[in-house]
Amino acid sequence: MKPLGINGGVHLGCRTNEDGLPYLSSQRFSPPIHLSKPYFDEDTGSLLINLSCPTAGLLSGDRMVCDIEISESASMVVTTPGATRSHCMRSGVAKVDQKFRVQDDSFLEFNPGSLILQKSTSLEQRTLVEVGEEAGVLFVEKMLPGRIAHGESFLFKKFSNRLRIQKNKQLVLLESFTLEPENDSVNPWRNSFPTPFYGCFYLVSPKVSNELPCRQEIHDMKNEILIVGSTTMHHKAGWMVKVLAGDPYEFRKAMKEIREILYQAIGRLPTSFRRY
Amino acid sequence: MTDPKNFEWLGGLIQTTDTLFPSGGYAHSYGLEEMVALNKVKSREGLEDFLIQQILPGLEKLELPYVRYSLEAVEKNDLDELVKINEEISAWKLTREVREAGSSQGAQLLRMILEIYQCPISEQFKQLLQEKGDPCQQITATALLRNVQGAPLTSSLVAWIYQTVSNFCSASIKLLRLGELACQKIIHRCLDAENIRRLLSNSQKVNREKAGFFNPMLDLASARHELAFSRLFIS
Repeated sequence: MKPLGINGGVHLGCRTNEDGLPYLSSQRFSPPIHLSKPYFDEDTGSLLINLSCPTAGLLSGDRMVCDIEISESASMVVTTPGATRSHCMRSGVAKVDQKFRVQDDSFLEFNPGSLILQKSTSLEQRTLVEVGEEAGVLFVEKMLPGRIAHGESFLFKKFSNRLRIQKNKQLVLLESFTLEPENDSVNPWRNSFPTPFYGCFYLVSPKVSNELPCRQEIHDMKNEILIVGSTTMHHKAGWMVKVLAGDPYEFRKAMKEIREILYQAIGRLPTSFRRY
Repeated sequence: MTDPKNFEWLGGLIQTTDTLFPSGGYAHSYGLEEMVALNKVKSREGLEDFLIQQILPGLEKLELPYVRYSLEAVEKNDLDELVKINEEISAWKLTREVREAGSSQGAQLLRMILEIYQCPISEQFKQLLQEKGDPCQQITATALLRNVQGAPLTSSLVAWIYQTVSNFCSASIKLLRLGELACQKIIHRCLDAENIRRLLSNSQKVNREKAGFFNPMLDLASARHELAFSRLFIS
């Protein structure tokens, strides 16, 4: 049977108005994405956008585009109300194409919920992040190898992920992999913890191009079920902080703490995601 | 490249793969030191598992394809493409220490090529990188070397596998106090004909858009090594 997929996504432009406050200068969205009403956080000066998924996740044949551009010193935080589920697929594949352009001295945090690779799912995700000389980006990825609470782990079919980060058109990070639990591509992740939760922060900002003052604090978070490490990107464009945890509570706590630490390092206040 | 039946290239390949050749690899553990500190590699068996379960698949899906793309670019004399490949390599070496290990060994190798061989293409490549302010990665320097030696693709790839495995084993002598015989047995098993056949065959199928490998634990180990209190190796 030919899979029935949805071809949609979200296109957002964010600028500042006469008072210097961020607003959505353009917006267009269609299933599988729905956009919440933007919320301006006075304390942090950021516009908070929640992207929700009316189809409850990605299904076979879905093609989702996420295209976000920020300019004129605007600040925006984009998140999702919950996890992104890539559902069981008997055949076919879901595709996600993400493009983020952050110009001038604007700032974007893209921090969706965890991507859950459910049983028999097949997903391809490609992301391009383009950052201007003075702009800042905090891009966050979180990934679970299945519905851990249901005892489902590494039963997905295939996940291809390709992330390119460019600063001033110069390639500073390229992370690309294809995970297939049927072969040896998942060995390092699977062998890290019995139920491994993975997260990564990619921080590009001129404020931390030479040093990340809180590095030792981040590394000191390590314990028996949590490993954390930070390193610089190529051309000293920014920092990458990886997290592996063997426990969901430890994982969530670490991701929250590291986010706060990184915000402190770039001299900004973290916007509350307002999840109740 | 020369006909594979012509073995003029073999002497050069052996010379430049030998530990006496000053590539600088002996000073690096490529994350293994911290993997040992994290108790993720604890013994001879652990090292063999690490190499077979994590390093060889990484070679198959990432490094060997990039050695091949580099060799193809050099063969075509397409230096602009080689510069792009070099840039990508620096970007997919995710941690600073591993990236700098690649670039310091690449720079050293490029120096040696220019000292030992007459290689105008290597000189041009060096010039292009200098103009862009990019460091030369070991993979692209190796492609230039194998090209000037006339080594066939398959032999160049096998040499890359050997060098990778032997570098880890060499570091493990200090880190795990393994004997030389134990190391040689591990290298022998990694270079087993079936392993090599599979690695070469599968790596041939990897196109550039899909090349990559996910090893978050090794990335973390390498990142943590940067701030390690005590260490024997640069990486």
